[in-house]
Amino acid sequence: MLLKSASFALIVVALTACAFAQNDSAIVVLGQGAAPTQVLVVDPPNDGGEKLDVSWTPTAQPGFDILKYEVLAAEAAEGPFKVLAEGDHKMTSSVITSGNGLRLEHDHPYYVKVVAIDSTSLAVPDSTNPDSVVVRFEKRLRRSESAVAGPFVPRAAWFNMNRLNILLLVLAFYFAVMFMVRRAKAGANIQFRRIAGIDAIDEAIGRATELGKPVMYVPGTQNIENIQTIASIQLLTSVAAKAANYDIPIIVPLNRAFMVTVAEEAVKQGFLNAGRPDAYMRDNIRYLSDEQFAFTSGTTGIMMREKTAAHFFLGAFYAESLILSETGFVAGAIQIAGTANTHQLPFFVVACDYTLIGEEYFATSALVTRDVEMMGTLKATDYMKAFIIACLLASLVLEMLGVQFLRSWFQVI
Amino acid sequence: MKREIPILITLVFGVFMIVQFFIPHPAVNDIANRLQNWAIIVISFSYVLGSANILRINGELVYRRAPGWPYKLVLVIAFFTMATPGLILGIAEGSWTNDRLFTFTYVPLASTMYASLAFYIASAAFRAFRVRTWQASVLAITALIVMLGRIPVSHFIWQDLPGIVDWIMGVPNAVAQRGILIGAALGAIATGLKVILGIERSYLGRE
Repeated sequence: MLLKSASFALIVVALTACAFAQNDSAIVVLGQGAAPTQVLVVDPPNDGGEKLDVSWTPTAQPGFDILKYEVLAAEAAEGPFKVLAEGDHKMTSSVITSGNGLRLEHDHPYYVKVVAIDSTSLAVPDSTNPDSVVVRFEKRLRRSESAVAGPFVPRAAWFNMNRLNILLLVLAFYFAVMFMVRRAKAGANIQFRRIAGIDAIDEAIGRATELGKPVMYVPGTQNIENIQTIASIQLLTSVAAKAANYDIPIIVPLNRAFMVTVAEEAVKQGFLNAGRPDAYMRDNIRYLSDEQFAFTSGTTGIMMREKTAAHFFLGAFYAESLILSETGFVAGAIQIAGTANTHQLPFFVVACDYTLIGEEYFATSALVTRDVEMMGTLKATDYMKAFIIACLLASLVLEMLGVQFLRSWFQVI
Repeated sequence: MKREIPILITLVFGVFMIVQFFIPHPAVNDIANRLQNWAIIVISFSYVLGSANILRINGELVYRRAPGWPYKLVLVIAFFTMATPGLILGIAEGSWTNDRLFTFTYVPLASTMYASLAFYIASAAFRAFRVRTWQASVLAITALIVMLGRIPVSHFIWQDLPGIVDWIMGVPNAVAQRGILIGAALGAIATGLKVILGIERSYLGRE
């Protein structure tokens, strides 16, 4: 009898150990056990009605080894429910969006439930021997579902209040620009400090003229939708006009096919402005490749073969910046670079003769052309910058006094 | 009218794209997405122009036996070698064009080019760290500290060195970068406004 009881106990222990190593089918329990309670669904504000905030209270009953939670949603109370979010046992809220075959749209009703998944051991009779008193313990995953909550109808907002601060600043900037443009047109004296890199444009082109070698202008490696490329194209017209004045060719290697037409027009405009449309050479606007290093290789090849004497690297650059500028240095060219990509600035600073840093780069077009309206815009930028510096200083003082409203007002969500 | 209509189009679509940033409603976002898809379609057509540009310029130079024409010939041959199988066999992952020509041929070449950056950095750093002025001295000393602090055994040199490096990167370096970024962001907004408001019109080409 003792032996039989000991054997039974051993078998139970062994089978229990084995059972915990298994991962069998789940048992579903509705609205009880580990099921979360108080499922709360909120339509988050300031969105397009494609999200729902779901929160719940974990069961207060002890003894459940909850592994994870799943948040399910459906278009009807009876389902089919789709899992839209899941997380570990610590999770008590989640933001659900479209997924898993269910699209969350504004003005549509949705039903939500939360499932807690825990592991439990079940005693199962030994099916191989119906007369045996031995039972096996199997580990099962148990799904405890909350009650279905809903319907909830997400609404789409017509204005994102979280971005009100940006709107106000953009409007302030817009009015500052309009005001300064008007003042500039009225003849107000607008002065700016001299920027060595801008003054050096003439020097670079002059040197290329002395050597009788072409000028190279690289308008970055991004497409026209990049604001740095747009700024570069504005400047390309001015540089092309100066090159036309000195009667030297300007080579423009391009990294984007779309830029071919844009660059052709910009250079053509420059030659036209200089009164030398006949000197414009279409073949010098060269599309090389969309691939970053194929373009880099092609451009450095042009530098070395055609011995370009002045290089302008103005636009958005990435890893190719140093390869281009160092090759240009080796080729002995005078080099002017400008970019707003801060990580590339050190490379340009080291390898180029002049570097236009950040805002200087965007100011170049206005300072080169001396266009009244553009100068007004530039002045407005300066005033906006002064406003931001004032806000930073005020924020610094307020933070030290424990007041955080200015910092939180500037936060962008 | 030749200039007014493009300026009006730029104004309308530019303002719309700014406004949609503040409106999360799908009715507005769907139009914005559609406009962006139009841009992608227009840009994809530009590859025809790009290809024509490559063939016209380089083909002519090869034909005229201009200086350096063998390089241009290599470019034209490479162009057709990549384009023809791509058009016939497709460029999907696993295809002959993608695997043999792109992954096994172009990617190693590009990686080699990228790897050569290490040597460019070395030569540029050598020039930058030559102590000629007091600013260059500050740069050289700071760079030396950062480099020493970044090596795996930096704490054996001085246990506080990694902390000093973190301070240099996190305070003076971050402050300078943020200052540049604020100025650049304002410049970018100003450039955008200039284009949208028609103050800057050079993108329209000839007057």
